[in-house]
This record gives sequence, C-alpha cells and structure tokens, in this order.
Amino acid sequence: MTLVGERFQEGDFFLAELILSAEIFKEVTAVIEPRLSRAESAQTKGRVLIGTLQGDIHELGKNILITMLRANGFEVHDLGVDVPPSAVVDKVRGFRPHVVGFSALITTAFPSMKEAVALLQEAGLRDSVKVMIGGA
Amino acid sequence: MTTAGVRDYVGADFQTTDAIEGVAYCLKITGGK
Repeated sequence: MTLVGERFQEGDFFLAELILSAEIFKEVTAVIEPRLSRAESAQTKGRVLIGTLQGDIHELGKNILITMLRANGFEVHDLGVDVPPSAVVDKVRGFRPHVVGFSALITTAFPSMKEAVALLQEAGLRDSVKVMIGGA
Repeated sequence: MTTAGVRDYVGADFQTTDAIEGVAYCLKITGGK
C-alpha cells in the first residue's frame, strides 16, 4: 500500500487504482488476519478501541492498524466509520480499552474527534484511556 | 491528514501517520503485557 501511495502522489496511479488497491487489501486482510490474530488467546497485550468518526468514511488506514494490532496480540474493537462521538463513550464504558484510536483522512472528522474527547472528559473516562489519532 | 496541530486541537495524547508507530505506542502504554 505504501508503493500505491507513492505512485498516486507521483501521478502514475489515479483514484480508480487507489480504490481498487484498497479493496484488494481489504480482501487479503480478511484471509490472513485470522491466521495472524492472537486476540482470542487468554493473554492479550491490551484492549484498543478504534474508529473513524462522524464526517469521514475512510477506513483503509484504520484497517491496516487493526490488522497489525491483532497480529501483535491486542484485542481490538472496530467501531467502523462515520461513528457518532457519543458511541465512543458508550463503548469505552463497556469495553474498557487501554487506548482509544481515531483515524481520519479528511478534516471533516476533526470536530467529531474533539467532541469525543470532550465527552470522555465529561463522563469521567478521559483519564482511564490514552487517545491516539492517526491518518495520512 | 493528522498532524501534531490536530492532536492538540483534538486533545489527544499521541498522533502518527505510521501504523507501526501506532502499534509501538499501544505496546508502550500497556507495557507490552
């Protein structure tokens, strides 16, 4: 996917190639992830809650990270895309993650990420988790 | 795209554009248990 990104930036690949590559990655991940994942083992390295928040529907970066975290022994809950900030608070209460990750490709998700952190603060949950954001 | 400025705006603890760095951060937080 790094190579695809480079070719896109250089103008050798266009949006169609980018989307097709993402779809291929998604299908390959579905095949290899069960073989890599150790999430079902009794000893996980920790719990991570991840989602792409309201205003953004891109999920490739999120899915890459989820695959890598599971391969490294983390239990990961994927909230999906276009997730309302309030859903983060609800899931933090039930899942009790060590880390909450927000993925964003476009700026429209930034206010939702800020709101989710504020809601965690209001709910008294902010100090119980580390918040990580990512997206390129 | 996220940056350090976005991290500060959001009020997050950590920001990256590299999935490997993201995994390393999670390992650091949980102590790699």
